Amino acid sequence: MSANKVKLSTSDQEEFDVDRDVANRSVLIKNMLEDLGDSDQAIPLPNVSANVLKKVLEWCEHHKKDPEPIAEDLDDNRRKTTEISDWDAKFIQVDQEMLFEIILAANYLDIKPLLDVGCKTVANMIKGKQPEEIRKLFNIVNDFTPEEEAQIKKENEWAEDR
Amino acid sequence: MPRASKTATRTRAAVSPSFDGDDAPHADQVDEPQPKPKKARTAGARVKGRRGAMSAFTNIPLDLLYDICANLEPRDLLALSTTSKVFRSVVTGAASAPLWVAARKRVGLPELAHPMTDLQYAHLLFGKGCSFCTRKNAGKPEVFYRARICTACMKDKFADTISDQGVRAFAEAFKDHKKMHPFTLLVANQTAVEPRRDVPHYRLEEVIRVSADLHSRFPESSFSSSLGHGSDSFFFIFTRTSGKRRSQAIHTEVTEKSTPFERWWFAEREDKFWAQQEDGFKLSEWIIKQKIAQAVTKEDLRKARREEIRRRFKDQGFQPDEFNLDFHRHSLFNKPELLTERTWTTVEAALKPILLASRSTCRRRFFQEQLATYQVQPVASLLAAYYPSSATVLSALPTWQAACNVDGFVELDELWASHKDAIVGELDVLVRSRIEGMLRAVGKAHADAVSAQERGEADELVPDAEPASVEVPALPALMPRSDDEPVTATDAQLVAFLADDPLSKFVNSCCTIVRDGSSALKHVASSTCAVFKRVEATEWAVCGGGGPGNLEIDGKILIRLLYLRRLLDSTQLVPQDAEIEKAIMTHKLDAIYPRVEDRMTKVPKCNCGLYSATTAKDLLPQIRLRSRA
Repeated sequence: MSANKVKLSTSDQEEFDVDRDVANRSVLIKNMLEDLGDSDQAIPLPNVSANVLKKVLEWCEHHKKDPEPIAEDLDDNRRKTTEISDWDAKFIQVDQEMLFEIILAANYLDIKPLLDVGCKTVANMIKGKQPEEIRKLFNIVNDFTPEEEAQIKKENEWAEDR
Repeated sequence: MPRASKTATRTRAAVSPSFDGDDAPHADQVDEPQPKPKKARTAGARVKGRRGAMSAFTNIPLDLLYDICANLEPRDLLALSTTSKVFRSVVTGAASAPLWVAARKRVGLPELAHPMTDLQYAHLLFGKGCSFCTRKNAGKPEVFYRARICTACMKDKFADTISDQGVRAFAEAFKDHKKMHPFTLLVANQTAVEPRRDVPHYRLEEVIRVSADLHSRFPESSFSSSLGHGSDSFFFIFTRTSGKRRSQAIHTEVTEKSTPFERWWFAEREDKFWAQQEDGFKLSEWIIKQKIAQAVTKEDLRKARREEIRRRFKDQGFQPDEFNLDFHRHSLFNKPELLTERTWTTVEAALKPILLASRSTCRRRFFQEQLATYQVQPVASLLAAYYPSSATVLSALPTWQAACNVDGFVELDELWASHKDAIVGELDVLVRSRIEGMLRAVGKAHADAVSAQERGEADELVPDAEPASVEVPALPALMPRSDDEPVTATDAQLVAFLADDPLSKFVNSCCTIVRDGSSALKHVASSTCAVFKRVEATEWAVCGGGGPGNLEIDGKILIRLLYLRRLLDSTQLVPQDAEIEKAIMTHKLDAIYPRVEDRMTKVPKCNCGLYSATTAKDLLPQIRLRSRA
């Protein structure tokens, strides 16, 4: 196996041959490769299925030349804006199951920028919505009792402190 | 693996307890049973959005939920806090502080010098309802008071100390209580701190309580000796209410002379008070900025929508001239929302008919203008001078309709050029048929007049006539001899008859003025006729019937007119007032009316009094028949 290629094995036993610089977008894989050294063995990714990995690798391929973000900027930068680049926005136009899987995979594989794109996408769906609309979106029920709701209202409101 | 530690925090699946978590990947981690909710309510059917569009996310690990929430704004975090227990735990839990700080930073909200809880802060600005009543969707943030107050509560439960109404409210509130403690208003919350900018309002209930509290803690005896002009306490109040920091204005330390109230104030209230005031200013500034930004965004949205709608209609071939006032005023055109493919269908359905009507109107106006030039200069046809101007009459013509409703955009000149001949042809037929009608009406009136004369009744038709006998001229040669006989005269002959024949006299029923045939027909054709907008196409310039736009003539009127004609012909011309004649000469007006007759006054030798003297030229057409009976 070429030194520039990496073999990845998914939860459903599919193997992917990937360029090393593409695979290096995942901090998890990158660290593993550094620990393992050159090896022909496939890296097992038991939490990622083949169709999700395919999608994730598509993202890594497109972003393989992105500069590494400087560690201290990272948190600050990603919190500032909720804008998503055009390519990423198109990339993330998937059904909710896949979006969910991508977020989980990005978290597991430790690909922060991708995780960020996923989280921002979900956040944008929540933005500007009323509580009832959010409940409907996520199909959850209001599990507050009327007493709790009254308490919430009281807590939120003005607390006379003098 | 930097995030490995985070995975460990997935102690509990972020599943609402009411969910069936059996097949959830993290369900096994839910270790403590959640109490069944007393009342589980689902979102109402009227809530917009697709139900469960994101239901896969109900099983999301908590740390990822944090990551998602890190991209939200305070208003969204506030909404999440009332959604369900899981979401509430995320936005109120111990780790929520950075979420809120980031969220506030995102919308430019300041961190407060005197903090509120994150939810209180968010609720103040983004919440709903009033803090002092149960009205929903009422209340606006009073940032100095740190509560949402609705207009009704502000009116009923709050009062200022400046207006008569406020003073009365204070008096009423303290009716059954001890006189207000002098420092009450310093301690009580108020809605504004800068009296010159905004009148501070106090909540009466709170004022009463604070006053009682102060009375018990700081009886007046503890400071009354120092109350007076020039004393610290006086300045204390003065500086407080004028918005200047007291410590800067007077002194910074508590001295031995300080009253217990001052000691308490400096120990417990001073910093908090100023911090809250500083926050109030910052927040009101933020609200103003927000409003400005909103107005700008709204205007931008409107602008973008308008441009997009115009662009799409232009792509369909509509021209800027065709975007009329109705179109520009339409609410769907001016909505401050971006146009989407879905809304476009609604917009198109509503606005396209308006534009098509506008296009048709543009064409009609252009055609009318073209016809108007023919009326002045009848080049297209001998009858062009009599073409109707009324839109109703014109629009009834099939050729006209066809030209106005041609599909798609065509340059007006081109459209006119291609339809002109057909329209003019149809108009000629119309006008000719009307002139023929007039001709037959004259024939009938002539026959009536002749038979009346033969019966010796003609004189009775003209009372006090002198001399009584009226000569009825012979019918012109082009007159058809019977109702069935077609009119064979040429257009030129017809026009000549209308203009010159002594029998060509008609009354316009719209204004009951007698004119010669040519003038009468021109009058109903022109837009100066008072009823030209009301004329029905089938009624226009028809003889008999008395409707607007009709022409009238019968034997009785004809006899009277012939008599008047004769009368006028036999009247003498007398010179005008010598003074006027002199003035005409001085101002060289004789150049305008060179003929002496035009400057003469014709005085009828008639005592019937139905008409007054006027210049000879104008007299005949202007005779008003008072009685047509």
